[in-house]
Amino acid sequence: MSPEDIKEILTEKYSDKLKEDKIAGFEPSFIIEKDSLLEICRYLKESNGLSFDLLSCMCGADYEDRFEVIYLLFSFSNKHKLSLKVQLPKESPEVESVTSVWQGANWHEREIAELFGIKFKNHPDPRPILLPEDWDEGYPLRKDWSGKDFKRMPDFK
Amino acid sequence: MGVMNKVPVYVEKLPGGAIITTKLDDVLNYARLSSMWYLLFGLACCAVELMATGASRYDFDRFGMIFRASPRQSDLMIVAGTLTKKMAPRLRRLYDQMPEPKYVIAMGGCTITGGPFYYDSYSVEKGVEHILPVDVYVPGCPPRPESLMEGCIKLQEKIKKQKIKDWA
Amino acid sequence: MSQEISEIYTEEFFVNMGPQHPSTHGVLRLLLRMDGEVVMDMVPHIGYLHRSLEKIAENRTYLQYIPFTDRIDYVSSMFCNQSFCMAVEKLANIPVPERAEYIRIIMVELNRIASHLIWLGTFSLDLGAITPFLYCFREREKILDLLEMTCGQRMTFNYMRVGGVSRDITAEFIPLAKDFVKYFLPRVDEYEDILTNNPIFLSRTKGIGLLDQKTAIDNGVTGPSLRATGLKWDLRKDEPYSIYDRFEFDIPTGKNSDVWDRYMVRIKEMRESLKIVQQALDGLPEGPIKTKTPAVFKPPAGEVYSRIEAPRGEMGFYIVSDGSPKPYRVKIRTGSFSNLTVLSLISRGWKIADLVAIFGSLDVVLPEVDR
Repeated sequence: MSPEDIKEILTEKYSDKLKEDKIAGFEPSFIIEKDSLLEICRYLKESNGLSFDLLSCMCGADYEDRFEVIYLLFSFSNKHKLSLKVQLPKESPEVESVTSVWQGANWHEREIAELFGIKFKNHPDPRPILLPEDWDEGYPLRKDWSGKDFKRMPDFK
Repeated sequence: MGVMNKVPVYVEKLPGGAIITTKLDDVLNYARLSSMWYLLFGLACCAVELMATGASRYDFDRFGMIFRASPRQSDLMIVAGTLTKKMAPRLRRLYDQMPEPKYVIAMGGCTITGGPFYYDSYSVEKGVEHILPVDVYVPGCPPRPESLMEGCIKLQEKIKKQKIKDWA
Repeated sequence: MSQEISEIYTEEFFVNMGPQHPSTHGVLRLLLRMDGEVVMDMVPHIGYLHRSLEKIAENRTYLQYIPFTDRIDYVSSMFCNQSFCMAVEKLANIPVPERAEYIRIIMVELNRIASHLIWLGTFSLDLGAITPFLYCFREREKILDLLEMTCGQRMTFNYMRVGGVSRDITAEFIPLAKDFVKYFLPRVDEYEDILTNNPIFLSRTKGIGLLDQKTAIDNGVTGPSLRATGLKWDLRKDEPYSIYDRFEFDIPTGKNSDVWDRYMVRIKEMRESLKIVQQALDGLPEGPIKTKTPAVFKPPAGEVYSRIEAPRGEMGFYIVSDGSPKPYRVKIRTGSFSNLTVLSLISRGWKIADLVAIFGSLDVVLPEVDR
């Protein structure tokens, strides 16, 4: 299916919850509201024409006024792509976990929770994954983080 | 004979055999340096160069060095690769499990001062010398197999100068 | 007698296959719950090689970050270089000259063969066959000679640049590479002679560690492990990037998705890569090797995601740029991270020696998992 067809189907069904966006190389891309994330993901995986069965990549990003979680989806049977973004507030970022839809999201969500501090509700196994067990210095990938052994490279002129 | 060429000896031929007079220091050091068994401790990129040094083209076996998987049976630890803060207590535990006499070679830039990960990295231990006493440093990223062999030969020269009164 | 045996008291116990272990191919800790020799459950602990490459990217320019991409997967560094450079070129719309594309393909396919050789050597070493290890490293040294002639380094190459490659190939490279292609093809037959129909190898690998297609896709498994389940999907043929659509090669798949199938898929892939190298060497054009980019390179603001087919699965880079010389956020998607999640599902019920064979066949390299 071409990107325009997918855009049409989705805007028809969820027109008030979507906004257009652009990620080069993985079109079409949408920003969706965080409360309808699980419903839209289930529809994308199970509906016959779309059937997005591979969660290709999932990552978090830290901007000045918000956090973002990005989902990049792919379908083997129909060979088309889609990318979704969810925007979260800075004070207490929480979003639903999609492990019930794609099993592969399990470890990705553990990594984002540990490095950014975003909480995933109903995650089956929320343990830290990459950092040492006794890590108590905060969330490293946030832009305003600094630790005691952390040296930033100076600008050499 | 190997011992006759490498170690200063005084040979006296008597009927029924020969008596060799030498220093105990020299013979013990020679026995130690000719068969160093190293612990397979490859962490990151330098581990592949360590494997290549032990494989067909650059052969480690001609120096008498074989890899062992267990620290209880080895006397040299070649720390090859980046050391992270999560791995550091395990490194110390493995070093403590090795029996004396034991030696450490720090291979690669990451084990000397953190290498390319010195700046902007929150989880890398900047150098192995905070944790273990190091005998030889081999710089490079990754060091060529010839550099690693030069490091081992320098370690052998260091061992030749050991004296019993220092450790007994 | 059998009544006495059934009254023996047994209990399950925990075994730690610790971070330092000869068969874990890196620093991986596996916590096993065992009943005798049989693995009941398994939990992998990772993070012992987490070098914070994504945080480093926020304080380096695009040119300064290319050596760090080498260290994501040092066994196949050319792929990581190519993936990063392709993502930046897509973001900034920079074309790559023809000669540079051909050189990139030659280097990348030679690196694929070298990576599969390391996998084959360590996999057979785990199963107890020591000879293929020495044979594979002997062949790999020949490939490293060719690559060292071009970029000066044996392992972490730092060769590709945004818009092309950094140096041209020398005049001696082409006849030596053609000699290598002729020399290597009978060697793959030699490895197959030792291993493929060997009764010990067959009893250790056939029917072990079955992974069905639905579980694989649900967990994000890609690369040769997915092709061994029967799905004929390869990014080089199905979403061609660079100039892969000009070459003729086949995509090997498997039927039963056990350890033996994953082994056969990689052996056949080595032969297909040789075909691509031969065709690229024959059709190499003349021309420039790099598009000129400004000294202070600033791509336009935006986001991009581009992926390639690396020896262990899909490797993709997600780059967010805000118009400055340094990227705002870089996310690295690697094949081994997703492939490792399946290990606890397919190793239940097998013995510990089978676990070593299953883990070897998944071809996981730990720096890709931990980044």
